[in-house]
Amino acid sequence: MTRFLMRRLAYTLATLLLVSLVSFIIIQAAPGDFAEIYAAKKADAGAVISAAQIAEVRRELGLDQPWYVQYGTWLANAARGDFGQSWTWRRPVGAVIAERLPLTLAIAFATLVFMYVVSIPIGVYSAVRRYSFGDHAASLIGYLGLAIPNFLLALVLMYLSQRYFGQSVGGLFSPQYSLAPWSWEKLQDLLQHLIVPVIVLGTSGTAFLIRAMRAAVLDELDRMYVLSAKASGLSPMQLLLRYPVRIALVPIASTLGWRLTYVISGAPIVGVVLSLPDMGPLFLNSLLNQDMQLAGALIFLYCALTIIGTFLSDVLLVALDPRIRLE
Amino acid sequence: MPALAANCATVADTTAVGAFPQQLEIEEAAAAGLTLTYSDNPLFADDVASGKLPPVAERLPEQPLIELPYESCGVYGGTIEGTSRSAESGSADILSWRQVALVQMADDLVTIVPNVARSWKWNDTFTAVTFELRKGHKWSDGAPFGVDDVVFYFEDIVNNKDLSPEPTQEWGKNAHAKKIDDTHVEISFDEPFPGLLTYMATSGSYFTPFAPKHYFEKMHGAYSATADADAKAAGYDTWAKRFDAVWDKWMDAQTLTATGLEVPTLESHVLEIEPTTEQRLFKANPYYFKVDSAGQQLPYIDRVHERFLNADLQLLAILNSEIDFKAQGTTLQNYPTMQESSEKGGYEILMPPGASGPVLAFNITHKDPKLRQIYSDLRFRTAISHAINRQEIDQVSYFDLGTPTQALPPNLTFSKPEDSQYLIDFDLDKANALLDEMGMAKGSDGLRTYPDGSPFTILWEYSSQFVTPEFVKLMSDYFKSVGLNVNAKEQTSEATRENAKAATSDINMEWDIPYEPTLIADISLYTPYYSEISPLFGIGWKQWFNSDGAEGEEPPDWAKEMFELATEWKTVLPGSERYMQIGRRLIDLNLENLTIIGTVGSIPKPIIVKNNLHNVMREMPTVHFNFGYIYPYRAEQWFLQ
Repeated sequence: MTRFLMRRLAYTLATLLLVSLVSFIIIQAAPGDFAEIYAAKKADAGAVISAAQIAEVRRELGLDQPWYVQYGTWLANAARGDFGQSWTWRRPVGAVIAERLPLTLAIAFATLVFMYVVSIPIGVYSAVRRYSFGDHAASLIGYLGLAIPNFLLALVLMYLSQRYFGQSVGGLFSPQYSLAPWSWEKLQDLLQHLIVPVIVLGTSGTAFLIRAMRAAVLDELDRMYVLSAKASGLSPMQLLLRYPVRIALVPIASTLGWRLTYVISGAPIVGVVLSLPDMGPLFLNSLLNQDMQLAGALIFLYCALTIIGTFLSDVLLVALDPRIRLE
Repeated sequence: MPALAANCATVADTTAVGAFPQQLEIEEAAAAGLTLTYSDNPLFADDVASGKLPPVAERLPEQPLIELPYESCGVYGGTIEGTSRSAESGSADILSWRQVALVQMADDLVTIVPNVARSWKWNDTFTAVTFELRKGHKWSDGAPFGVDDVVFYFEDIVNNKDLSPEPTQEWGKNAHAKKIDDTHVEISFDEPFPGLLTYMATSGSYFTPFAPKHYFEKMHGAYSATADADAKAAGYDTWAKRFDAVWDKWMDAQTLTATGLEVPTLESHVLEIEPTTEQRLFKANPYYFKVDSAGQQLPYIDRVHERFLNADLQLLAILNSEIDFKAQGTTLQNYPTMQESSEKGGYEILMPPGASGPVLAFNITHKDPKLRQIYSDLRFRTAISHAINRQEIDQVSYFDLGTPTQALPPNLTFSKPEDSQYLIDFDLDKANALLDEMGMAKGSDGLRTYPDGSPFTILWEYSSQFVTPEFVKLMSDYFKSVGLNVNAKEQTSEATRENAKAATSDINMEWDIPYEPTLIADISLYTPYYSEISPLFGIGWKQWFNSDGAEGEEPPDWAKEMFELATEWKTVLPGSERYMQIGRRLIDLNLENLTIIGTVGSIPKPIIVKNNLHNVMREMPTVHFNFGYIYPYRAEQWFLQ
């Protein structure tokens, strides 16, 4: 077990290193750099930026050095836990991420709960009541959920909630609460604002999980052990939950790893559309602005999460299915 | 309006008139019979009672600036809601609500008026200007503001080799500041720069030529022996790095982080809590130096709240009545939607003309000799100008609210009405005749060729940052209608800029049409190569001129004349006879050579004003970055009721 963990850890570190190097090169490969994009944004607002000013920004940020020197500096600092400065926000990367982390986790957690709470019962129901009206209805809605692009759903729901419920758009708080200290009203305001993002972020995952759950339970229902359990007099509900559903959860648990990352990274486009204060828009903008140190840290974080998530789902698998053994 | 209106002189008042429009100095107020008893915002009452703040009469300068309100003297209180895309993106509008500079542009956008400075005086050669500051003026932390802060900015920031390895030329060539006495400071430069005040009041208003010396000297290497050690302790390699992190030329950038809470300012509102990636909050500056004509200290509004939202959400927030004022980033395309909801949203839309449609510049100095020969032929450019149906573009893209125009900086004091109409008549016969005359015969497919018979195609690489695909489609159809083949391709702005610098692009479009104050500060925007970031054409010409013929390539006579005029322009006083002559000649040279081809101009720019926001200038001539957005329209007198 220890050797297995050590080997995993070594692979993990090598992967992280490689990912950081590749992402650094890819971000650099795009035309322009942070200084030029900064100038272009100013120019977009109507300002006239001289070449000398661009050179000044470049010099300040060390962008005048070759990329491998920049990468080396970044890596050396990262190894000491210092991920550098976000140039866009002009403060340490850690502070920028920390600011967005609590609400990112809130959204991620709420979305995961939504996904599993909705999809598992419906999946089981449509397997047990196959071809019933409820099964067809669930399937139809599920397919629609899969087919509608996230950002479109986000726009439609946002429009409806603004138009018919008078809810303030964007972000997770109404303007009057965004600066207020925490209170019962502020929490309610947050929960109201969470509905749209959770539905949007959870819909396609939910639809997928319903189908996966339904297929897995169906596979199990015809097995001989179900028949023998039925014969030994278990009540239908007990039987269903104890055997077929438990086995059917295996494929779902094994995907937890990347689902976690997907939810945390918050599907950047949805985040941008809804102006969510989570990490998705932060990540997208850091790439667009070539805010290298922030982008590097976020990529690092996402990779680490995927790896941790995969590890977690492995542990879950062992717990769910006693037939799985560590080699 | 409140009872105060009785003793409150407004802009409409004919008795309260000073040397400059809409504002009075204290002597002028006395002469006009205005007796001022100072009062302040109840927001500060607790701090004054507890002794944390001195009473208002001690906080104001001995010589405050008296502002005549547009509608009436206001009432204190409230939070004004604004939005921008993100920090330093679309935030210039909100910065301009609280902005101060030594001088200001009056709302006619022509007259320069005092602001932080009480008065100024040029020397005869325009190489030095002396500003008079206000006695007793204070920073937002209560420390005195004065001559030393101006000298510190020039001598210890602009001319400090550690902070500015290449000193900026924006305040004049090799600019220095010198203390004359306690209230007078002289700024001097090596070459005449009579445009300095205009620059300070307009596109230079986002930077201020003073900095709080008492705050910054403790981290400056020239003043503190421990500056380097302190910087290391704070996590920076050198004192200069630390200084760079706290101080920023763009006043907007200084309020991006928690350090903005400490750095004092003269602006009307001061950062109140640590900003986040979602929002900033500003609170009224208790030491602000202006009062209204009833003696109430400005600003009236307690707090400015700025939320960072993307463009789509900004529109929804406006419809939802969440935004009190917005001038930057609103588009005409959204006008119908905003108009439809204006009653429900409780806002009004002002429509000052401010925007110009896209312009095209054919690359006269294209690297490819064959293309260069075509594009540098004036007949070709004239044909293009006649082939464009500008009326149609106006209808399709701007709800028929714009005006067809040739490329021309708007509202120049030295332009004639007919300038904007030069060669813009839609006349396909004329266009075809000119192209025929060039020898570009039509082939069997109806497309024109090079004079030597080889196939000719315009490769149009455009960025959607400057033009919509629909516009490109329309234009391409116009070109095709006179037999010119076009291959239009969308690119990123970075790529179009790189091609422009390499002179390999056929059409360049990145010319942010300059206004007169912009030209006063930087005439190179109206002579080749027009744009430093994305040159339109003629990089080699300018090199040739700047190096006296040693480098680059020799420009045609008209371009040489433009460079010579531009050099002289920098030395003449705005508004003088020679200034008008040079400006006039530059228009003629640009028009006669069709350096840039225009489409539609005078396009209204929607501005959102909430119904409960008062003292907003109603007839803004234009609202643009180059005029400092709202800076000429005095947002410190806005109030909510």
